[in-house]
Amino acid sequence: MKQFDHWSFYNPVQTLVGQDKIKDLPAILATMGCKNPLFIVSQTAMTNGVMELFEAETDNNQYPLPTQEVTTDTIELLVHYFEVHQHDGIVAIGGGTVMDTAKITRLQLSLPSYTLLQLEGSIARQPERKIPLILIPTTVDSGSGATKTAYIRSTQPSSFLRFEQVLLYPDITIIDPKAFKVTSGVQTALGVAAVLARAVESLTSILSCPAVETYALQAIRLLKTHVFRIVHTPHDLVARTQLAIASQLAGIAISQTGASLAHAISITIAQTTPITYAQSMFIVLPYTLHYNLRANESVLSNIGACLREEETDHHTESEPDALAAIQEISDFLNSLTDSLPQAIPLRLYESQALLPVQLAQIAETACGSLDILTSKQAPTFQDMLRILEAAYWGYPLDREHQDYTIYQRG
Amino acid sequence: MKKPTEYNFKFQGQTQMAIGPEVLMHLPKFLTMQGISQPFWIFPKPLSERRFLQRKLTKVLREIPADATAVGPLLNENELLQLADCLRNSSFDSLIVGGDADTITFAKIVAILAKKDNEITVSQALETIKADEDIETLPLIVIPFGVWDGNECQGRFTYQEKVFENLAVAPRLALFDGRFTRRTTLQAITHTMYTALLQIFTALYTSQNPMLLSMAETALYSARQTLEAIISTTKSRKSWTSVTLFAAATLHAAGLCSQNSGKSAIVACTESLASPNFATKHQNAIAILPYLLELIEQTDPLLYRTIKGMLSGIDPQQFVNAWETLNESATTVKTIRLLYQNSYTFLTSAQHLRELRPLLTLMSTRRGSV
Repeated sequence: MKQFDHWSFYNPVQTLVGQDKIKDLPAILATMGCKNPLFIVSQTAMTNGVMELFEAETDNNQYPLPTQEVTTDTIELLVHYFEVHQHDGIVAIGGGTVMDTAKITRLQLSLPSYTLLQLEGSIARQPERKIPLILIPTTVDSGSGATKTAYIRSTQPSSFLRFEQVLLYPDITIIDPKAFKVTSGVQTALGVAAVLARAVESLTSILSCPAVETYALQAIRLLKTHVFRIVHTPHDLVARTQLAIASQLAGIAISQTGASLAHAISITIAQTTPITYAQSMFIVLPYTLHYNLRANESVLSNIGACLREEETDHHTESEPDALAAIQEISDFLNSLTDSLPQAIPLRLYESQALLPVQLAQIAETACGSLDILTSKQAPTFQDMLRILEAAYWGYPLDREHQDYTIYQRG
Repeated sequence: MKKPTEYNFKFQGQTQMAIGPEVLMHLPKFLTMQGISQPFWIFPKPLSERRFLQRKLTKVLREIPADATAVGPLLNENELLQLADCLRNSSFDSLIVGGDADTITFAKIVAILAKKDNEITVSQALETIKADEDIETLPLIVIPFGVWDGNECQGRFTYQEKVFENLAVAPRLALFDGRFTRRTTLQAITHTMYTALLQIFTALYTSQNPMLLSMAETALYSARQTLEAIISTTKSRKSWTSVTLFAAATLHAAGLCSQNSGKSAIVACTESLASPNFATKHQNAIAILPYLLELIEQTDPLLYRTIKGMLSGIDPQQFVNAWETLNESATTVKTIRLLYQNSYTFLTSAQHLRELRPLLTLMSTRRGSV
């Protein structure tokens, strides 16, 4: 008989989905008692017409985020702006950076007696005041609208701060396909890779549970069904909605388990090189899955079945099945960009933004990340370096499987 | 099933769920995660239950919480008002309640009253609550044991036979610890499962967005595991603990499905037509379930097939039938179905309804007494 193991599930974010849902914003703000919200808007959203979707007047409340890197100084400015103009809530419109900035600004405003350095980490505190936060994603990202994590660069000392606590959950995330303004096929493909990687990492985490499994597998199913339409016909509203929902589902799943190896490596690469997070996830994921192969055989078989659109309830623990599943994930990622005019690097080497000498430093930083605690096998510095080198040159991670061609990407 | 273009939905899981054989030992971690530092405790009055809970808590917290009271076993208006008065101007940042369905309902009402001005009666305070309104309540953490009513993880509760609902009343955290849940009986488990299954199927019948489908799949997975665990359970404590924990997982996921699909007349009907010593809401649920599934099969065959897929290929009708035969007497269920059928046949006649309305109106105000 199957014994019950511990599990926990929490998804306090209210997700509102629908075409023209964005037009309900004034009514939603009114229900929350918010009369004078601060709009934090990405530069792209400012220029591509997303703001025109609002029927209410927002010009006086907008704070366009600067195009240069967002740092703790930006948060200080935003907090000051919020207080001076006596705002009573935050609405963030944009991609991952804008959402992270809004989350951290809300955290600082809710706990004004602490500094950002004191708030870093995962110690939760009761808010000293209630600041409503609404997020409106406009790009395909890895589900920031559903997570309780945010990152920002600190200027003093110069380092990246990682925040993880309940106060970072937005109150509401509005998914309106019309707000997802058309991005290039390449950007969309990389966004899809990030969503897939998040869903897969939540399934292979030591903290995974049945509820996480259904959310993550549902996200993968949606990606599988709609991905080619969204990459090749970005105007397709149905596909855009499905992709945005998949992103939110993956975000919910990952917020239960925490991210894992691929995320730890990718976030480090994104913070230290010009390679983006999504680009790194696209390259690194198969290698990290292979590293944890033996601990995840049944889960990987399930993911493979999901990508083949088969029943996912028959867990089998066999290495060939698991390897075949990694192959399918790899093929799926490669096929995203097959017919696009612009090629996406399949190896870190091809990105021409990273030198081999930097790998050791990245491996060391990633080894110190909290995210690797959810990996089923605890990687040492040497393991991490091995993964990075394999992803850099595109050769097989495991010498035992050298005949297997899936990792010879590029 | 609905097409993706028709999507217009909202989804939220207000309650953090933690389930496990000894999940209570993680309580301090969960409290930290929720930013709770000064809770007030509500224990059940029966001594054996209270001592059992306090003994387990002492192991985790190293002492019995001093800021506490014992309530119940029945809802008492004076007790409710007194406790709300004490909490109204205090520095407590939350309520932690351990106990059965009535104790949890008590805590839900206190959580509302504590954030309101002095009210004359509890009913007056509750009458102002609307389902869609954003109200302020004291955060609630529940540790259910004893008899469950299916509302443990939801913003619903019943007071004086009236059903109230508001998302703000839903607990912030529900801890289902195997050492407490295993005190639940087979009858209580099966009865709760009847309501849970009705909630899942009505939710799917109303809406099939990807988020709801995921939650329904979790609920049906847990329901299937519960059934398998009951059938194959040995007499060991460990195996019964697993049964109750799978049931708790189903209860939570079903509650989320119900909460996110909006109010259902089908579920409300089982609650409204429940009567003491005859048919509980759970028995009403199992009486309705086969017909609901037949309706789904006729009107939305694709949804029926999706449900079958979620049950790993088991026919939904057979699945419900297995649950029914597990505990319920066929006579009781048949009597309830006949009653529904007769009421429908009789009340769909406009003339009958016109003539009976004054009489039924009079009866509805008396709550069964003459």
